[in-house]
Amino acid sequence: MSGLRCASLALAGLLVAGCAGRAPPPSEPARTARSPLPVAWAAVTPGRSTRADVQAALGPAHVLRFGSGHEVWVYRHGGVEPGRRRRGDGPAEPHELVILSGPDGVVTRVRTRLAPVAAR
Amino acid sequence: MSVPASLRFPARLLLPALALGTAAAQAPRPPAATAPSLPPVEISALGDPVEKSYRRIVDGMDLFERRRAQAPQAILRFRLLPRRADTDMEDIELAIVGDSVRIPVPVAADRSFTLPRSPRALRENATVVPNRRARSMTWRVDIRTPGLPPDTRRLGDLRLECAVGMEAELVSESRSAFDRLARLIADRGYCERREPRYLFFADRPLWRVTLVHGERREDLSVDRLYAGVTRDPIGHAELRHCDCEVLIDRAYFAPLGDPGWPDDTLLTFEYIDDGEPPR
Repeated sequence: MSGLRCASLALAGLLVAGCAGRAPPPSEPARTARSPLPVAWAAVTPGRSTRADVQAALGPAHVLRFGSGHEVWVYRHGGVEPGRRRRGDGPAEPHELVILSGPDGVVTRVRTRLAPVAAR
Repeated sequence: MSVPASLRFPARLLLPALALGTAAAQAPRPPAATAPSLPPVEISALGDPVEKSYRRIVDGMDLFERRRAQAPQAILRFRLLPRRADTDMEDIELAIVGDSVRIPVPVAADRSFTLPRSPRALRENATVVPNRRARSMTWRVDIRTPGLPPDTRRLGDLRLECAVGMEAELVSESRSAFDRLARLIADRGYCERREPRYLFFADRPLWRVTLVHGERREDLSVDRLYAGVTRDPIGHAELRHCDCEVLIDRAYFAPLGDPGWPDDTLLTFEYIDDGEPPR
């Protein structure tokens, strides 16, 4: 599992409060044999989950906080660390879970991105 | 062209539009009565104004004409961007100013403009000057093929924007003369590299950017959004030199050097405020 970078910079209107460390590994296998994504990612529900819920379920994220009060949280799974070599046939890039929450702290949108198959 | 080892810098120092970590990501709004906008005085009387070389911009215009094939229907314009959260972007006056020539440049409602060609201004090594102070605003190349669906850009247009932008020096600042020299050496072919870090700016704060070509669809990695701050955090000192300073939430990198995505690839945008009521 790829690590998460930490950054602790605060500028006018935008805070990147980086993760405290690596995201916890998934405690269960993927939902189906073909899904490479952690099952826990499916628990995040727009309109219902809060930032606290997400952190409790998925651990620390890489956070971008915008001046509007919206926040983008990023989790990654798989892939290789920047600067390291890809092993075997696995994707070089990690899969991504990106969560948008509004100023009220409630999740409004969620999207996942499967790492494309590297065509090298 | 490769950079000699003795002149190699950390990648971000060569970047024309730096991925600089964090910034005021909210799109700036004109503040109320205390707005520090400048009165409409003669541009030449303004101390420390934003200035860009008219000659270099014309070089960019010439390059656009030479590379028309990459965006055959596209129109070249330039688009104003704020560099400070408190910059008043309304009623900006722009002119080409030389020793004896002053050519007003109309700015459209969408904050874009075109520049006329003036041999006299070229002879006088004129500059393009708005009535705003240095580092309060800038402008970037804007190349758009007409008739595209809303919230869509064409990859070939963006590739040409990068090339013209580099030629016209309409990029983020270099922090030192040494950086400028290094950029000069590195510029050739920069936009054709696999991962050129030339920033583009969407109209509103971004949620997702999707590449579409035929049946093929692929979201840009989040590391290509928001000026790449989820991958490469930015320091305060670097942010001051980036055109993304107050536009982090709208900034993105495109796969300019990836031959797997043809020029006719479309980038479709979804925004953070999609579906929200207007403020």
